[in-house]
Amino acid sequence: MVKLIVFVGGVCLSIGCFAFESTKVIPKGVRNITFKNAFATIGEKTNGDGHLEPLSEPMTKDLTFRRVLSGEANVIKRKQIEAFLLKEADEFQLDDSLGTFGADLKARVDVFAPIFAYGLTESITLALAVPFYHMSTNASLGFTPDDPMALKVLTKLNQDMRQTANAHEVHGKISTAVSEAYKKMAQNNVDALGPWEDSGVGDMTLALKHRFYQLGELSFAYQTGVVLPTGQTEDPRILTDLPMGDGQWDVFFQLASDQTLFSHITFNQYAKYTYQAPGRRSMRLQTEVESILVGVEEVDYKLGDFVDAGASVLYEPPYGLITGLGVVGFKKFGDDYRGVERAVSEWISRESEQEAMYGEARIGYSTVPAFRRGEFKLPLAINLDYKAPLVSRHRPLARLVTLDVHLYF
Amino acid sequence: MMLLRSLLVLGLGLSSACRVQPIPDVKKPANRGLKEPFRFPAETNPSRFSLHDEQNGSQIYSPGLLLVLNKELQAKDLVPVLEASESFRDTQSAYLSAFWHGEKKDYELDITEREQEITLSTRKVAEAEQAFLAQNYEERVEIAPTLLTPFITTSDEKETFEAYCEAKIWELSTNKTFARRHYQSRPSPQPLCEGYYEKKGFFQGEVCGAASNPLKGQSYFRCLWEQGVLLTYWFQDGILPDQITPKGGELKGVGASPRDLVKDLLARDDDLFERIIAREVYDKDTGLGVVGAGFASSSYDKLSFIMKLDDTPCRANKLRANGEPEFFYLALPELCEVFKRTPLALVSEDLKKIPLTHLTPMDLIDLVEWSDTSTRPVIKRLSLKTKQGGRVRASRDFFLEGSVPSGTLRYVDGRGRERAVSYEEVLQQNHVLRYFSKRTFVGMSEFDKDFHRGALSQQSEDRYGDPLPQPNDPDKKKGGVHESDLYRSPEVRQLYKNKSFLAKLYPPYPKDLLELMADESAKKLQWEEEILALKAKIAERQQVLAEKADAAKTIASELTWSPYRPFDSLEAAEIYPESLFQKTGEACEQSFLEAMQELKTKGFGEPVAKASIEVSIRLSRQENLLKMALWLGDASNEFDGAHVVGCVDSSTGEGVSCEDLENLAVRELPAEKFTFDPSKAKFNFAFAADLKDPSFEEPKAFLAYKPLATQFCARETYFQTIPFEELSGLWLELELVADQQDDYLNILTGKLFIDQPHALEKPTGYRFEGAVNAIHSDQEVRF
Repeated sequence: MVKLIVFVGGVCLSIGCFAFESTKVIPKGVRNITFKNAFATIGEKTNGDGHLEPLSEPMTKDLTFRRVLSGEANVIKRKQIEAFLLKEADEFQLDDSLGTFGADLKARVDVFAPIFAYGLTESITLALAVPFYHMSTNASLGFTPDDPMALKVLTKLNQDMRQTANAHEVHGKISTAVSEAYKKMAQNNVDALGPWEDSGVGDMTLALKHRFYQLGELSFAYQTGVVLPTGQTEDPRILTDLPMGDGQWDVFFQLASDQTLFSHITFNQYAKYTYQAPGRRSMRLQTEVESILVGVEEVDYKLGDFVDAGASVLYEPPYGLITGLGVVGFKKFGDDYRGVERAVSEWISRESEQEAMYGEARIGYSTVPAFRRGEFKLPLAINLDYKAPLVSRHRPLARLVTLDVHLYF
Repeated sequence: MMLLRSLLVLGLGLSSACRVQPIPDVKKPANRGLKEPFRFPAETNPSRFSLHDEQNGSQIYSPGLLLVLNKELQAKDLVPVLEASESFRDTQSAYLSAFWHGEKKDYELDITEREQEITLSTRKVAEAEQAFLAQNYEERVEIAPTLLTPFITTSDEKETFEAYCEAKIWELSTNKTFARRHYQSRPSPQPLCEGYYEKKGFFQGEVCGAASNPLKGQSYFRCLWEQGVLLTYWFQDGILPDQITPKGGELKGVGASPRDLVKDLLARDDDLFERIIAREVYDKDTGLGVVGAGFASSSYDKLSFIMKLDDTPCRANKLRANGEPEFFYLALPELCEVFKRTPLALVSEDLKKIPLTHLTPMDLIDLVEWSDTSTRPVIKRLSLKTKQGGRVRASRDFFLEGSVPSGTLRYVDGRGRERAVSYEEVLQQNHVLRYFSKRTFVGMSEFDKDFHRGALSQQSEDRYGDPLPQPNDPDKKKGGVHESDLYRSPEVRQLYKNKSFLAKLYPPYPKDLLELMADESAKKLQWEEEILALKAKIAERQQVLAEKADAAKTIASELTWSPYRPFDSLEAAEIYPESLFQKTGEACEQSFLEAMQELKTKGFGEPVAKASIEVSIRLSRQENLLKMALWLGDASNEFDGAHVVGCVDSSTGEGVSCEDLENLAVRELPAEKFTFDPSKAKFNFAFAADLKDPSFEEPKAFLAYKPLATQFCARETYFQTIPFEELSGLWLELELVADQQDDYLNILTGKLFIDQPHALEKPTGYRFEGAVNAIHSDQEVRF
């Protein structure tokens, strides 16, 4: 769950999901390489109401009797617990909690994405983006007993029912809940929570931009392409890893317009729709009640398509300065998991419908005007972007810093 | 290309410069246990659980209920068991705290007070009676031989009487009380015989003299044996063998004569022989006192295998003095063989065929004193007189019918001549003998007291305050003739009163003594009624608890036989005899193991390896060893069973070898694992579930039957608890936690795991799980 949210952000990085989209293309025969480097530390996300909450929120769980039952692998013991709850139905409900598991989770994402572009014609540019990810997470688990409830259970078992051995067992599990949880993870082939990091190639993007209209100060271009499932998907054995790809093909189409308003100031707009093709990958069938003691299966899924649109104003005077402000709107539709129980699909897709509004600022320098004037031999541009969410829902709170270096040759 | 390369380097350099990739720091979430740790009673007061019960010694034994569950169990079916268990424990705890250790103790104190009052009252009356009767005792002893003289006229009678006198020496010498006590002067085996003893030279020498310290007294054990038993005609040549040749066992004293053996025993410094007679030496094999081994039901407090032998085989016993490591091998069985020759059953049938010297001492005493109340006493007395073949013609029920026939009794002597015997003659002989037969010491026999009450004092109650039987009481007829039948008839009473010799033996009680007896009798009656009422209150409370236990047991039993056999129940640490199913016509009926012999005859064969289990945990304070044992045996006791034992050093909790087990009489199989965690009072005990003891004819599986009955009944799933096949190669592990709750309730609960040996290390690995509940054995009701 955590991993998907972060990954969507990564996709935007690789293909330029930024406000400063333009209709600019590379002249015929000219080549361009852009080094896009972005990094962000993520510790929070927004919930369905748009409020911030820790990224680890899904891992914060009450240890309810329902979870105790669900998590008990031994059939006989589970039935004994069930019999106890049946007998004590007036005292204990399935959703009564013996305590709460708390967690802290932070993630850091670094993306280095070289984008290679080539001017096929004066109005058509072909581009390939190959993102390299380096991602790390760290998580820690704790448990806080619900003292009154725990004591009530222990008293019932030990002093009322005279089940000393069972009382010892419950007492031990409450006292060492975290180590018990880790033990349970180990028994179910799940890596213990802790530092994790990995590097690798993400999903590559192949795109084609065509500036199909230009008249005076107004121009239009469309961009289309595919995202290849070259990135590594999530590992079901690891609860806090981040995927470098979503495991299936994407197709997108974008329409952009530029209009020079007055001296060196350009107004850009774009809108883009991305279709995410169905896919199939191995997943841990987590539910709200149980995330450890669950099976791992190959699951058919269809991630939700997403739309993003933005507008920006750029000031690019002839001496090479680049400054600008922009805004981007983003909406992703919900994911759909098929062939799994409803409880599973509901849980793993519960926050997949996302919305966000970002504000962006750019400052940079380009030698391209000087190059055109013959004053500088190397046409290049360097931009530093800062992107921050203004409002969002079900999105990680990622304040992204991006450094782009564009070279033309 | 060079430019491109440069650009790439630049881009990568920029990228690297911007990449800062520390693993994010995370806050450690709150992680704690309970704010106020839950304390188990064993933790809050560690000394409370030390496997040492201060009140009951150094061993705690906790039997309990064991439930073995399988995966087919339905949770809803376990609910009634939990409810019943909790209800029972609640009741039990309340019972123990409020009643057992409170109210019941008050009741018991009240009962004890009243019992003491009764004892004091009884003693008061007895002392008063004794004081009165003792006034003329010496005088009565003086006249005793003269009282019997009229009946000892023929040589046969004289010979019998003398043999009887010698037999009485045996009787006293083998009396355990005599062996333990000290006396101021030599007690007499039979005052009637003192003249005979003197004439024959019994009881001479220093060992038989008066005690040098009259206050302390002395033992006359050696006197009675050296100067008594060894001089009796049973020790004459030709009766006992020349030397001891035991049939079995390595006996000390082999080759010696019985006389020398007894002398050797008497000469020992350790008083071994006295301790044997006093039952302080035990049979190693049976644990019983050697005197009682095989003769425990004897009504005589004597060395039974010498005094009275029946068909019980004599055997060489390995003897162990209590508290001593040494084993003694005695030749008493050799003596046993000698006296076994008496065919007692023939005594009353054909006396003339049995030489007097072939009668054991007790045979003779039996004959003379008619101690067997199921035999008609007077007839027996006459039989003694006519042991050459006389037969009595007396009316069979003449005493019971309550009327004395006119004339005389008649019998045919050995020569075929009839002889008349008067009732007076018979009664006098009887009572003279009876009167003195039990008079080892000064005092009145109980018979005397009854006689006073029944015959002389005309009272309607016996010495216990019970109504004296009426002559025609049908209930009394069923049980044979009672002694009091002799005097309850008005005619017989009158007969006694008219005879002067009776007045000498039985002087009438004075009025003040009779009044005292009446008063005390009334008080005792009241106290006894109060005791009964108090005991009824205790029983009432115990009944409530027993009913709870029964209810819980019923619930468990019902589930035991449900189709998916969710568990088996072991009550009081023992599998109750389970049942086989027997097909009768179309029905499949349940038959219990007690009927096994019957089933075997019908072709069912024997059940195999239906084990009972008994878990005992004992702490040896001296060795600091904690021993846990599981006794596995057939509930039908058809095989001895095995004893799986583990020992742990209670100071370290680590398992150790049980070196002292070789002294146990059962087969032991070492436990695979035994550990003890004193902080939790937790035991862990593991052993192979399918015991392959070579002494078994075939593997014996724990908790299993072979499905022998399946060919007869279709309900085989009801038959097996856990089939042998399911246990093969598995381990059984008990994980038990002991605790004491509410200050009184000792419980032992836990789990039973059955799985692969190594799978037991994983809590999810077991196939079966059992729950054990137990309480302390001194709390009477177990579940």
